[in-house]
Amino acid sequence: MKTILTIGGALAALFLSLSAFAGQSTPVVVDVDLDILFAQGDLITARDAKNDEVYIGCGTRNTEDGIGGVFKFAFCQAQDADGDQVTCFTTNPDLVETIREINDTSYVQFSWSDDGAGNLTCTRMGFSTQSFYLDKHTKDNAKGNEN
Amino acid sequence: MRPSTMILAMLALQTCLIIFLTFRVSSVKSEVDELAILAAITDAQLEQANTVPAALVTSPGPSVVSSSAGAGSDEIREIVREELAAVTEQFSLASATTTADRPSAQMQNPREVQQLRSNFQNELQTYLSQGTMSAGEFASLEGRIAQLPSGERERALGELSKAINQGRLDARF
Repeated sequence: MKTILTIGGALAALFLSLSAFAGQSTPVVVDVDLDILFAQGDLITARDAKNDEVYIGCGTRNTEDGIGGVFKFAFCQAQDADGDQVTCFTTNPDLVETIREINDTSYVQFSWSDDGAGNLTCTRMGFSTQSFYLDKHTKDNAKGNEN
Repeated sequence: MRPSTMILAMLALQTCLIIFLTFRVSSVKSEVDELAILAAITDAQLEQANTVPAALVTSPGPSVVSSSAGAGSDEIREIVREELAAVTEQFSLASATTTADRPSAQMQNPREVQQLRSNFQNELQTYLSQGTMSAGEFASLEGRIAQLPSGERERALGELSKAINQGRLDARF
């Protein structure tokens, strides 16, 4: 009887640990495409990447101009495992406003225009927050990702 | 008088002045509207006066009336023009005062803009020479950019973007 209970307990523990990893998972590794001027990646996958240079994200800055106004701008930055990196800025108020949507589990994508001399202006930003961007950690892959 | 009382008094005075100015601008606007209506009516009357003599050209009597009516309308036109010019001048003066009260980066003079731009350039140059820019240093540079007029801000961000994307400046914000 004791043996049966032990085996039952072990099976229940295994079931519970497996159910913790259930659900769809679609991590998006950071990719900076300098040909189509597009970058994407989810924040968790980027943070867990084995390559320490990989990152992605966007932000805003609001600074008083000293004469009664506030200067607002936004930026996005990313670097992928291949070393391709991008930093773009925008003062478009609608895009600046969009960044409020981002959170620490978001999937981020953005596009930019290039004046040909390295002056990159963000032209679009997109954020999604869905369960399948939340990474699954396993024993074999402590950081969760290969990149 | 305590400083806080003095500030309150000044705030109250400033509010009164703003209200007075707003009233003045709206009354000038309404005067312009009235004169525009008057001008339209006068134009319609003149048009009518010009068509009547043409119809009566065959009868010798009314031609005198026609010429005297023309002289009268010329005078009216002249008066309306003068009034409109005076009101328009008054209105533009009032508008200019309102704009001057409102702070705007666009109103900085070229020498001032040049100085602000030079401040930005010098600070950016410092970071370029060290090859990196920390978050705190970026905050300082933002302050410089914020002081510039709108078009210059875009230009400054463009220069920063170039420096980072060409690999001359390592900066993550």
